[in-house]
Amino acid sequence: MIEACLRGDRAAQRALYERFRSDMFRVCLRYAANREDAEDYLQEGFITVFRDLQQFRGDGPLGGWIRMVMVRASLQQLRKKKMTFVDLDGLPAIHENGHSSSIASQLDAERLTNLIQHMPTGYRTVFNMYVVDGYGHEEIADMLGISISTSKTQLFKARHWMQARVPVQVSKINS
Amino acid sequence: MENLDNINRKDDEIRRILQGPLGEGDHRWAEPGEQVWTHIEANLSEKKHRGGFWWWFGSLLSILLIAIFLISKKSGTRSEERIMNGTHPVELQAQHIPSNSSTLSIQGGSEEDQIRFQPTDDQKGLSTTSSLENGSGISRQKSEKSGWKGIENRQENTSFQADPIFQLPSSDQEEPAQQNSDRETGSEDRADHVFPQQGISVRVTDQLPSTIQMVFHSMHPELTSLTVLNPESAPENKLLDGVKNSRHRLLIYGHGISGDRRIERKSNNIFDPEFGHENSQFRFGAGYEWQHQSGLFVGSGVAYQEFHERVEKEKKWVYTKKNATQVGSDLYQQNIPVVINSGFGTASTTLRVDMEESSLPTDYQEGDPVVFKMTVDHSLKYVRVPLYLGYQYEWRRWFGEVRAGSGLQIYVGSKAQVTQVAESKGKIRIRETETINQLKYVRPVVWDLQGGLYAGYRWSDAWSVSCGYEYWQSLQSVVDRPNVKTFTSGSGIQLALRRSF
Repeated sequence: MIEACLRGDRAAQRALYERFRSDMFRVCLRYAANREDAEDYLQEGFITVFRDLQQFRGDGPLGGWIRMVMVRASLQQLRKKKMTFVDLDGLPAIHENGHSSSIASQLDAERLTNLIQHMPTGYRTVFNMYVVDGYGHEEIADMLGISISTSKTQLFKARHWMQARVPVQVSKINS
Repeated sequence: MENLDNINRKDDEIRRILQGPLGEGDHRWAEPGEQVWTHIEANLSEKKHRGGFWWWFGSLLSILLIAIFLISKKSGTRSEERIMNGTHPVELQAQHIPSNSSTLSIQGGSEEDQIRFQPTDDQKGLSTTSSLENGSGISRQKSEKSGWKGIENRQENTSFQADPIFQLPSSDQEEPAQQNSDRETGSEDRADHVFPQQGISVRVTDQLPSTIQMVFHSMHPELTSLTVLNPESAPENKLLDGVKNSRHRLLIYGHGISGDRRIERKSNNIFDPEFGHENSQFRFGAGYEWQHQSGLFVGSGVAYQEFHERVEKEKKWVYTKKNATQVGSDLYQQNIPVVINSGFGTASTTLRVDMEESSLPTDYQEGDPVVFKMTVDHSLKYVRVPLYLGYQYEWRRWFGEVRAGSGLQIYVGSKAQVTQVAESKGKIRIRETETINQLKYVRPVVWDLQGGLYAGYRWSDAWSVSCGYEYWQSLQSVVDRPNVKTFTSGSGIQLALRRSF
């Protein structure tokens, strides 16, 4: 299929897209503020995939390579919109009560994704890169053009932001 | 403060939820819209098309530039005026001979005659050679016996002998080495003038004294007189005034102002009607024209062209919590699709209206009407290759033209910018202007028709300007959507700077 895609076979390209579109859309949804932006990221990401597919050396799963392309495409789109890193004042004090450790049992992927989308852009980006996609602070700082300390601060605040809102979401679901 | 293990455990949970397989349930939220693949496919097709286009365009431009270069070079080395006024053209060529004599040679078919005359001082530098085609009616014998006697020269501020020596060499007589050399290489070409009656041209070297004017009179009825002027000092085109010649022309031009489009729909527009549209277009380019002595000319070239359309739309709806989604304890969201179905594409956006429960009059309340405006700016970019015929009428330094022809518009790109303007209470999150870099269903090549009237002024032999009114209309739909075809047209002023050769 990869060879056919490299030849420009439209049917093969469509098959590749169908194979990965859902997984990759979930990646884009996490980085985007809304569904429309996520579709833009997905579109740009797949265009990059088909353009740069010859760079895939086959030393890992294709899905992992495409995921990396999607993240980079999303970051590129975010940069176009002048991503800002903010410090939100008045974050509620978070007291560890043990309930937040059971997020998995109470929030599904859709609700969690929706919650992440409501984060400020800087929080959301660093949170996604560090927590979900497994980048280190040095890589994040390098890719976003920020300092390592900014990356750490944004992650810290993102965690607080999440912890403050998860109980609200959970209570909504329960009610 | 959370300990590190707890943080890592929660990170793992989040990662597993977000990256793991989706469980049971409705997963439509994780499926992108169908239009995503359509856009990807269109983009991939455009990239393929662009590659071919730029190769083709580059080749065309290269050919044009080479042609212009060759024409310029030829015109630069040969400053000549020709009159094709007789049925049997005879050409006299003047060239410099660095000896103390000048030669007028007459060629008849493969043979040639020479007439030599001797200047009495150092005012040298004139020699002429002529070629007479077979059947011109001037035979060699005739010239030798009687036809060429009486040739005289007249000069000002110089003293040529009034009685030049005529020599008619036999076929085995050698020509001067310099003359042979020049004839072979053609390097003597600098200027020529022509007998109006016979199409005789005389080329004069720039070594000719600046004030010399010579008149040759012939007794031959078909070869009555010949005036030779130094081209550098002679009044401009005195000999040729008022005579039309074929010429090459290069021009650069700009054209634009008004544009319009016509939409043919096979089905009704199911979306809200648009408020109106504003169109404009412009083009600038370079061209080449070749004009026959009759005044008819043909032209072509290459131009860059843009066509614009701005459409504004107003969207109205009523806010009700029933249609909104509660996303916080006191926060509601409503997504409103807005679609502009213009002549060039369907631009859609989804407005997210964030509303907090409030009794403030500045906030939306249940049942409030919401009015929102949005504009879409479309632009389509083309490279246009015209081909047209025209007629030019000259009167002194003024000229008028009429042109008609066709053009090939080759699509190179398009853009649509969706701008959210405002709604009445400022409660809609205004998104940045969104740009769509590729319109769908754009026809890659469109034929058009053009026509126009122009007037111009020639301030020198080479340079002129013109201004005119031009109209063009696409013969094919530029955007060929299902059930919707859009044709474009444009009109306006064209300004051009021209260089003749």
